[in-house]
Amino acid sequence: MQYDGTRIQIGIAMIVTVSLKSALADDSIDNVGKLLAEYADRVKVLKIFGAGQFANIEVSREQLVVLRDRLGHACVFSEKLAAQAF
Amino acid sequence: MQLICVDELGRPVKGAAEYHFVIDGEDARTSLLGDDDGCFEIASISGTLPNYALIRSFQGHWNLGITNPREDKKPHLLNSITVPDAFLWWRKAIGRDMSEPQAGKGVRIGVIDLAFAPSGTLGHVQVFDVNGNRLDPSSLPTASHGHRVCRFIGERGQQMWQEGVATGSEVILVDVSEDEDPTQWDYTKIGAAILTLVKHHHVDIVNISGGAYRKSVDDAGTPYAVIEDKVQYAASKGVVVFAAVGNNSSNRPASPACLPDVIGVGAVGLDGVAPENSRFGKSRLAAEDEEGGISPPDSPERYFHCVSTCSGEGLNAVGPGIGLFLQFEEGDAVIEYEGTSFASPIAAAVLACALAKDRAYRHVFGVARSLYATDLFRNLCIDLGLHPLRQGWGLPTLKGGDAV
Repeated sequence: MQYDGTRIQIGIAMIVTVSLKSALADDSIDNVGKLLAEYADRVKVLKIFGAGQFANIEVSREQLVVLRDRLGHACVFSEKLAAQAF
Repeated sequence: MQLICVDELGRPVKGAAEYHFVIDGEDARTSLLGDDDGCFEIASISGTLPNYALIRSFQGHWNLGITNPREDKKPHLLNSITVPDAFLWWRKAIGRDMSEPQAGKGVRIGVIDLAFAPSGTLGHVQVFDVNGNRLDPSSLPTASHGHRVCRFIGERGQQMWQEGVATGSEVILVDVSEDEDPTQWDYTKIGAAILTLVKHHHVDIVNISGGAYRKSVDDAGTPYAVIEDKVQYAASKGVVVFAAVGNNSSNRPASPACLPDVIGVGAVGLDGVAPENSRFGKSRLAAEDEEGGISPPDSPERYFHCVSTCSGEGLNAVGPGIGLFLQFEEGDAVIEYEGTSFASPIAAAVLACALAKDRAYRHVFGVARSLYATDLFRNLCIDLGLHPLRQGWGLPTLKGGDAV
């Protein structure tokens, strides 16, 4: 466990993909990077892609729970898995 | 230590050996090229020998599987294929009318896979990244997994065996390779690739010949939510998504094949096509030992499930997935491929052929269109008499013509 003065991190960081929900009613949200900057400024953003609709971020499980609370109305989250061709 | 491989006349077979290991309970694989004398060095990992070797010929032989490969002075036999039967068996199985030059015309098929430089018989394929940028062919490899997938979908060659299933369809590939390693899939790009194909390229069908094996879902978030959201979006726009279920029978169907709105495709072969000692023949024998692994003896044609591949909930249909030969201009190589990677695009392309001839398809919209197309696909499938978890709805075929 680490304490950095403002937040508690427990566990190992993982890569998570954040994407704007396809059925989002509010068209004013068009870039997931802006949302992350506004609501999750302490999250490490690895890259924004897919015309701004997607972001890969590095978070702990606990951070992910907080993020889902804050952004769950507008975004979906998926942990990165090891993919392969079949 | 080495294996020696020859054909029926004792001539050396050139190719590659894929060695399978179990290290600390985990599967591992490595490949080595054989030499001109048909000799294949046996690989080892930290002193551990492989438990299986797949010998893949480059010269038009049926692949050979060897359990617990060890040094052996007696050569291993790889049988030569019969041309054109070896190329055409699966095309006949799906009822592809080879006299029809532009099957699938007007239908747009999206392929999510590894990029390649389109040329020759695949010169019509368009390749993009997940940001919507067209990729510069000079920066891409001439071949890739995606290249092979596109050949089965819509290759436009002069010879019968250089024709894909839906030669008239438009094919758009979105690259999902890792930024640092173009030979590896990046799971995080699959959702963006679906969105790009549906939103910007207005495809009718998406094929995904890869994915990730499932892990447990915890309350911090599922590993499927992003892709599931995009698949639902695709369905709302009338698009049908196909995905390969995976090639490891110790796993359940992979993601995204396992998702509810995705047609997960497994692999089958046809009895009598290949010699018994080949990997194809041994796969058929292995299916005999599994419940519902092969069609009943009184069936007009006996299909078998490739039992080393995935089955279970999430497998909705099957396609030819072993004994799939491709000819390569470079070095005149003829190589047998297998796996659900190729069963899935073949099944998807069968639907494309049917949609191209369907009069009502273009008159339904939104989610009704994807439901309509899925129903049409389901009606194309014939029951092979396999266990439902091994065949789903069955094998799609254009033979009947009723649905089209």
